[in-house]
Amino acid sequence: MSFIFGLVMCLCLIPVELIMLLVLYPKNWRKAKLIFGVTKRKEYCEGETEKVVDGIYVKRRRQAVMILLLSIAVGLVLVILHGISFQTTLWLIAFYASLIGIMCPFFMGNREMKSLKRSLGIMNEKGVNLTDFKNVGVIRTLDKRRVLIPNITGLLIVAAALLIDLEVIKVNSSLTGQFLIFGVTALFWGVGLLMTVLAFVMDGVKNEVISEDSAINANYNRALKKNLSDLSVISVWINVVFMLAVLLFFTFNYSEMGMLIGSLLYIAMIMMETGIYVFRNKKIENRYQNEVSVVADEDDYWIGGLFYYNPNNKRLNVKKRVGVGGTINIAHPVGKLITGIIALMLLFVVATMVYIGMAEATPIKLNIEDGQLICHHLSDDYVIDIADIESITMREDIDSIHFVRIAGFGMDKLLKGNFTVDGESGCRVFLNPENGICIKVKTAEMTYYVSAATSDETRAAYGKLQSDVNHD
Amino acid sequence: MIIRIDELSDVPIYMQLRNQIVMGISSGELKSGEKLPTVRDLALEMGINTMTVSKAYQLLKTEGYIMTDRKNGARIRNEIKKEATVSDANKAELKRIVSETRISGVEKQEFIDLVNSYWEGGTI
Repeated sequence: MSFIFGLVMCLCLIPVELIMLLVLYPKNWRKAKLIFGVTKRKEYCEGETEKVVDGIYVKRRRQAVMILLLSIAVGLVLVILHGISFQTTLWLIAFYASLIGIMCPFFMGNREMKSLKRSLGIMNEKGVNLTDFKNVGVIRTLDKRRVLIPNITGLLIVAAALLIDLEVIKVNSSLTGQFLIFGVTALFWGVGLLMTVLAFVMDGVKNEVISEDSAINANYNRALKKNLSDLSVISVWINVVFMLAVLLFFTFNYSEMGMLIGSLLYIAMIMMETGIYVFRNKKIENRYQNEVSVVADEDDYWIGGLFYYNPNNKRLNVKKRVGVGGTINIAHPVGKLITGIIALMLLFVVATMVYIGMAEATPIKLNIEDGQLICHHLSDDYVIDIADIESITMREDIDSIHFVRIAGFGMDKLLKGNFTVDGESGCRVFLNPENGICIKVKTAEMTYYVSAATSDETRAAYGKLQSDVNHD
Repeated sequence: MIIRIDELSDVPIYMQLRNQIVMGISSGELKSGEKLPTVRDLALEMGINTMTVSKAYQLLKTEGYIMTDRKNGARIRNEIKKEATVSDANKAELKRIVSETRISGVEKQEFIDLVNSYWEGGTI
């Protein structure tokens, strides 16, 4: 499982890093529209300045390639590690570090280019806003029907999942009735819906002005928006295909391995279409390279070339200067709010990883005191009154028990939470599977599978529990 | 037709917008009966307040350059009133420009050539 997980993560990281390298550091800066997020000007391609720019570019690009290779090496090492939560935490750190890492030469290059620009005496036309009057509100490429059909299909899949969970549609699956199938499909439908909303937002972003000729501006912006619309529509369809696969998979033959392979395919498809989008965008930029006669210099509003901060612009969403899709104006009040939320979410992810790491590092305990069986880990997870226990059984055959996690932890050393066990749904599990043994505790309302940190402690707890239960 | 708005200029944004639409009409880039963008779309595209665009349109309407109705939005007037006189405000502005140009040492003919080229080209 750890290996498969590592492989999935590795196969996610490498294409992401490659796409970032391709987008942030094109091979030939002379053909690019921007150099490290700074508008390319003819002054940069003349005499000594060209050599300086070339020096900056080659150095920073080489650093980015080194970071990419290092990330791949780290990823390959992480694949062979064991312990899923340990691996997850390390992967999270590796992901953050490699994404920030590959952007660092870009930020430094941006700073150097802005400094060069100042030294050449090139000043921004600060506060100047260019708009192509003829194209206002007319460049729209996203056809409502193209996104409506996959969203309706997705809704039908969610409805089918709900009917299966309500057992209106009878299927032979242990997962029905727990609203897991419904929950997962609804979640992905929500993702598709969000993609649709974002697609419409991006279809309405400000048109770029590259020429005095409105027809050229119209064609250029239409081509870019069409490419983005296609990306959005295909993404929503991939989402729907994945929802359908989840529905069939959960209904007929659930396994964690299959789920991972499915997720891998889903990610691979998203990566592939993003790659195609980037390739097509480059083609469009190359096609219109010679048509550029107007330079709207907004360099100073792009912090590090990637983050847009313009208090004079009332717009919230803007087209990304470098990369795929759009971004927000951080100076906008809503932009500030969104930035705050994103920062909190990132912190939440880090905090969650720390919590998971603590959960794996902390041994579980079974305490029997005051007539209660207390399953203690980071806190008291389950407290069972011994008087309520109907039967206890020592299970020495833990490998033959089929645990399906519904909610909770599923690690090499810890199974904890709500599980379906051998087809019985809603069981509470609290055990270390490496012990090879566990105690099945049955009360009138619930079935528990519990163990202590070691097999000896589990046997000791079982002995004490047996005498207490018999005594009662 | 490119609208260039300078947010740091002393000229109010609505006046800059009004001036550039008038120049567009003069140059023929905006034709009689041509539909103008809606206030909302233009404000969103330019990243300015809808009230600013509305004010510019209102001024153009008062001056007789555009007409608006609820159904069709704003359009360039089919027949713009031709008074065939230079307004007092424009005379004062021209006087200022001539004075400044003369002080800066520009030859009279050079200035007249410039006026001619703008007149023929229809745009500034």
